[in-house]
Amino acid sequence: MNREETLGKQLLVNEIAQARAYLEGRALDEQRLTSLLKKDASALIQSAQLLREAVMLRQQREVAEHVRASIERDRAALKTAKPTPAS
Amino acid sequence: MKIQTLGDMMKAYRGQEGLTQKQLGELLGVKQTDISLIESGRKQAPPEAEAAFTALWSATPEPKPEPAAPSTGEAGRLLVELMAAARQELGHPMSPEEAETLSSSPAEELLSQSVLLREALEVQASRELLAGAREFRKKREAARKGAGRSC
Repeated sequence: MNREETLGKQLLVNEIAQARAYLEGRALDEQRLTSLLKKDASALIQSAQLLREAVMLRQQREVAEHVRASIERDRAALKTAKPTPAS
Repeated sequence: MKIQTLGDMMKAYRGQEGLTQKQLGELLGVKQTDISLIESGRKQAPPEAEAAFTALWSATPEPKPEPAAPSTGEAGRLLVELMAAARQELGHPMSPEEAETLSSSPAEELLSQSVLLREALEVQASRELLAGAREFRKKREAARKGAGRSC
């Protein structure tokens, strides 16, 4: 394996590890990281693509949840607010 | 197409021999659920089951079966879980059969379906935001009018 391939695989493994930590809420253990490094580059590229998409989907869901929560907050604030005097 | 994992080989073997996961499990001395987990890359095969499968595989006449698509493994499983949650939010829950089919779909298929779901979530969030904004405007106007009358 040449230097570029080793570096490329290392970068993909880092990306996979970060994505999985974000999605699963826990870091990958050493054993899983080592087994990832043993995979061939095409399998790593595919995993990284799928996880990148999963991260984007999760972020989109979080945005939607945030929108809903802030609408609810505003709705609650409006209920408790005193009527504004007419200017 | 290149065979990548033992799970892919099992799936391909079952396809060629017309076996169910349960039947292959009986041949290898493991449960159907284990075969399902091994095929989807979520579990390592026990050494005895792996040896038994290698013997079955070697006894298969040439040409060896090839899998329909390489397993997308853990990454695919995570994405399918999120896609199912997104579908739930959109009001179109994913059936277990659909989830199973998606889990064994090629990566390209998963990626394109996920992109569509993201778009749908974005549209839904924008709609909710607009509906919320309209509701607040109406309520504020009504509150202002009410305050004007009381003065």
